[in-house]
Amino acid sequence: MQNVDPLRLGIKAILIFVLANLAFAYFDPPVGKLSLYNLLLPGRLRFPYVRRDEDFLRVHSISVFENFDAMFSSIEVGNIAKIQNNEYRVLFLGDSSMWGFDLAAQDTLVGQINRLNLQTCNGRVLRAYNLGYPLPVGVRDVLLLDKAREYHPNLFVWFVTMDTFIDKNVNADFLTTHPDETIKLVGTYGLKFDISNIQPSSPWNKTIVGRRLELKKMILLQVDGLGWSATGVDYYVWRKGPASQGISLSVAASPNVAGEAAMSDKNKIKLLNSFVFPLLHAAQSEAGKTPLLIVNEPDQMLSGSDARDPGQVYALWAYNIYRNGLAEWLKSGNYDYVDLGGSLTGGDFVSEFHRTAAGEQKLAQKIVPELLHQACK
Amino acid sequence: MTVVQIAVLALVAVVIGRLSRGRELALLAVSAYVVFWLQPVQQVVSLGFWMPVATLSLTILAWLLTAPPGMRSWKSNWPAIAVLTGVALLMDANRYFKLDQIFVTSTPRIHFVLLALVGIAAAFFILTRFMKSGRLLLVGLFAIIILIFVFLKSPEIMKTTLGYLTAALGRDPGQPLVSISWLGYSYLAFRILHTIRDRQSGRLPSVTLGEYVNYVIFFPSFTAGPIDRIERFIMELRSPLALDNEGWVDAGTRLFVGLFKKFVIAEMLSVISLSDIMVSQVKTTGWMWVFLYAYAFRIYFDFSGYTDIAIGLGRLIGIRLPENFSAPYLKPNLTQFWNSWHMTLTQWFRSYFFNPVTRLIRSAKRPWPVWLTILVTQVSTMVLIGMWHGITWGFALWGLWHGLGLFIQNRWSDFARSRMPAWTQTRSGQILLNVIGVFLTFNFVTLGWLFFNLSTPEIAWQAMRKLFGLL
Repeated sequence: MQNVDPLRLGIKAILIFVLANLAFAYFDPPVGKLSLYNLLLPGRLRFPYVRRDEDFLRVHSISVFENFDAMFSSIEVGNIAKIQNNEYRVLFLGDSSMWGFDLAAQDTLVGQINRLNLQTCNGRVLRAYNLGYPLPVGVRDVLLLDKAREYHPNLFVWFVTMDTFIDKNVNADFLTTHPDETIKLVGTYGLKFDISNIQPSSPWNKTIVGRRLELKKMILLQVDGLGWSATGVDYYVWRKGPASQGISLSVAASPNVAGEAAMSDKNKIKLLNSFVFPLLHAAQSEAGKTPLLIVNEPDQMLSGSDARDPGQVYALWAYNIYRNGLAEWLKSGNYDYVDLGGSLTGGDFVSEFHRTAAGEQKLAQKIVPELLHQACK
Repeated sequence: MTVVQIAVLALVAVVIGRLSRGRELALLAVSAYVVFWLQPVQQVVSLGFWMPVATLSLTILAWLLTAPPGMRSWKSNWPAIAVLTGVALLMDANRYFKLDQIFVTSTPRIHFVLLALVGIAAAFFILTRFMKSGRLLLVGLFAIIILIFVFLKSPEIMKTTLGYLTAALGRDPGQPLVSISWLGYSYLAFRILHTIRDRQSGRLPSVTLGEYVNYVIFFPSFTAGPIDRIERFIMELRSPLALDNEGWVDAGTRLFVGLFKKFVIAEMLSVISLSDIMVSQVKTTGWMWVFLYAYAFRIYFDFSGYTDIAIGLGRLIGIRLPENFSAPYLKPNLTQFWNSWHMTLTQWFRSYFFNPVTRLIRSAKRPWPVWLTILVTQVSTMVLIGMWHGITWGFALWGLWHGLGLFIQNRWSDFARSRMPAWTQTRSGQILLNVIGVFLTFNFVTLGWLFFNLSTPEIAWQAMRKLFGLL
């Protein structure tokens, strides 16, 4: 001990630390793929997500949205080493209603479909995977779809609603933490998506220090796998508070769209052209050869018992423009599309879009024929 | 403390450790500043300023009452008074600079603060000049410290008192004051009580105000120990250890190990440590044990990691703080566990409660049976140690659990000493006994954490039943 020169020791330590950071940034090792899930721990049934920071100990979930690999490796779809030859893999994308807000992972739409033990016409086992993530953000869904191609999909099913195409959630998880991918996607397809506050990543963001929060969360995600394994709990029934007055998502409130009667056909086309069609085109292109089925998701507004706060979401007339325009455009472009917007009744919802377990079961019955049809094409 | 705060304090510690002149005052200024800096945000914002002022005032009062008259001269103490007053005024002046990282900006107006400081000084002056009996004042201070402790550590008493206070202040009863947090009070109280008792028994060394306040609020150990003894601390404050090569490596190693224990291992384990919610969520006995063990290791790594950091910071300044942990989970019996877990707290209670009470019982006219003496002293000491963490049923039961455990172990040792078979005296027999002892002790301690960690005895009992497959 007495022979140690602390100055030399300190300089060496700093040098090694700097070199390690530079090497890490240069080689960019795929650390997110190192996962105990699907190896020692059972894969999760959906992406880890925590609505509020203070809930994270209660729900055994830590969302590492900075790292696609870590997120995919933690869920069942990441278990590509054990894919059965006769498996028909259907990957579901969407927002919180797909992820299964306020529902146990087994009770979501994907869980309900898997419970049916479906077989395709050619004897393959149909297996559904949940890639939904809370908040409707179309650009985020397309980024996930692009990444999901690594996981051998046979079919993508994308649940969308009008909110999916509105750029109100530009600061959502995955987007600001993947600036380069987001900017590239928006640029390539000319999306009308405001990315002015998304800054391209710098070399600093690739060092260990720059990625310290992401690395910490990745490690905690592995440890938290024990909590998930022991309890199976990855959600928390969040009590809905009074509607916030500060967040207006309303298309009706937009100065450009005063009301259906006042809206010219030209404006209707403009609305759809700017918000909806470019992103659908992007999704279709990114899916490549894998078929993409687009589904207009059930909306409580169409069930006859809408209890939503009118200041919070779009008006029915605006929704109808979107819905009809979407159907026409997809049909004219030969896209695979199902409109399930009005397929459920009021009792099947717990909120505007979020469904009960019974609602998910009903929805599964409605979507399954389309899935089997796609599998046998 | 956060990693950034620890890094800043380590740099400051290095600078203080290198000073050849003004070292004591520099340390005093930094320690006083840290009392303000680390004070958690309060419901009533200005309390974030007044609580640290209360800490310093209480410490100065304790010095006034414990220092011999010869040490209370203005000449030898004015620099410390100037430093402490200066730090308080500087913190208050932040209302004009508005540097949130340094301290809360919502401090009281400067004339209030000046008025309060003059008032405090006048009160202290009158108290020490005109009160005849120092002994009575010491008893009074002792009682006040205990009363504040009870108020701060008892959720029920605090809630009731603050309810009355809310009404008295005419505040909105719909938004009552619900808590007051006094940073580091537990340790502050124990250091001051130690000096009061030593003053009463004539063992307290003569120290200046600067030395005394430095001892009580020494920034590396202010918030979470270890609880040093003043005579040892003062020796090194006056003649600090040289920061030679060995010192650098020693301090660096302790800091690095401490940071790793606290911010890596403990933080990872915190994700899966047994909690109230987990007790209801976990379905199998096996997982319950996993999460309970996770908590046991988490609390060890968190606390011992913090101690390592404190010792490392102290070493940079030139002061070697006492050890608080010595591989406690590898001890073969409960007595040895308590000799190696939070050692400075245990030693404090041994010196100022267990030994005096034992002496008192033994000097009784009608002698108590040995077993009863041991039962009473062990249980009362451990219940008090439990309630030092908080005056709740959970902490009291935790203390009772350990008190009874120590009593049973003591009685068993007495019983078994002459009855152990010959093979237990062999080397392999000793190893086997040791392994069994470590296993039993660790699991006894770990089960005790249920009362400590879970919020109510009912949940602890539910967890206990789940752990043994009874639920």
